[in-house]
Amino acid sequence: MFDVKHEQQEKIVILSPGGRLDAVAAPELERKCHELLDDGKKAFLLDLAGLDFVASAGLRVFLAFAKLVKKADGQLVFCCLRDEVLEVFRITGFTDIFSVCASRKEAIDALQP
Amino acid sequence: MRFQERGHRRPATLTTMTPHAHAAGSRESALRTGVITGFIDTMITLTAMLVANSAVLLADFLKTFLELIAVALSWYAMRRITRGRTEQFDYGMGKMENLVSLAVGTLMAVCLLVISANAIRNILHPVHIEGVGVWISMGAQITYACINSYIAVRSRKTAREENSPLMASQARLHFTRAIANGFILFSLTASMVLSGHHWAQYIDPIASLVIAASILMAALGIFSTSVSDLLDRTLEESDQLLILRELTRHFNEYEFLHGVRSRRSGSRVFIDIFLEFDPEKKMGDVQKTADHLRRSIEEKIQGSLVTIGLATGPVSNPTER
Repeated sequence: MFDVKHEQQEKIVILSPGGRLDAVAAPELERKCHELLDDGKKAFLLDLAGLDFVASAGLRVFLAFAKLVKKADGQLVFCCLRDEVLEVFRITGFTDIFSVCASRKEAIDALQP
Repeated sequence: MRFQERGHRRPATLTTMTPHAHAAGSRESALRTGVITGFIDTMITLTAMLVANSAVLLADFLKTFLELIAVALSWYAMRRITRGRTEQFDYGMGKMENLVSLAVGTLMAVCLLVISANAIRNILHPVHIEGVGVWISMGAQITYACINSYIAVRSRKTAREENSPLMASQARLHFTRAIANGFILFSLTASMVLSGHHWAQYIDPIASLVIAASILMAALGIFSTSVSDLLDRTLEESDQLLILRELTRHFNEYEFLHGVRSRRSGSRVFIDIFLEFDPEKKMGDVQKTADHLRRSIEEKIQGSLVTIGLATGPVSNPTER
């Protein structure tokens, strides 16, 4: 079961996907990300505290989203990754190219201009 | 015209033997040896069966004959792979290997039924084994246990080196045959030595059932591997993560990732990656990135053929159409 919530904190959009982000759920997250980008949002915080599992399809959504955010001259920060998800981020090298913070506060601070 | 174009682009391939061609040749040679030894084995078991007029040796003959057909089918497939490789099958013949493996599995299932039916008949109507045919068969079992073991080890080594399901099925087949040789020898020896006891009549059918069980295991293994490969499934998650790792390494060299498609076909893996590049980027730089990405993935995923496609929009999956 997958769901994705979003909230706005000043100019920062906080996306909180929860459950299993697999090949079935990935398009839903992709749609949500595109909607927010189309609305002109530029600062994104992906809080992955509720994410139990992320498959390669979900990681590709993150990768593609990061490209779009970069193109829009925006910012993207990840936070609160569970150990299993953090391990996948390490294996794929995501931790080398993305900002990954331990807490939401730390991530918000990183996104502040 | 077609010949001229190919000759213009890659003249070396017309005169030199590639490592792939050499590997296919060695596989064909291994299979040809299997066909020759299998044919001789079939003739010997046929002779033993006719001289002894034994039901056990009839089952042995049928099993050996079916195995010969299985090896001959594989040899035929490999000949087509070796001969037709450059002209008609640019993407290899992975599916044919899987189909042949399935045919081998089916023949093994037929063997299983024959041996089981024969064993049940011998249990219901026990008979003592005797005659010159039994001695001929015992000699043949010793000889072929050694030959089958040798071919199994050789095929297994080739299967590991080339990631070939066909050679893996051949290794399993010959290993099963070597075990069957040993068991039939044991069965015949025990039946002859202990012929004074009434219960010795049951040694032979019981040993046959053990052989049937080993054939069942091998056939199930072949079916599960070959059927899943025929379905053109996508790559396992571990390999998908390897692809992502490479895309991450080259993150700053492309503009956008529009999709990744992958499929297994026999021992080959096909990966299509669709990327968008900055229109201002030089074609030479785009080629450099694409080549580097392709090579690094092909090195990490055994048997993979990577294609980097240029796209400016989302690439749909064939299943979504």
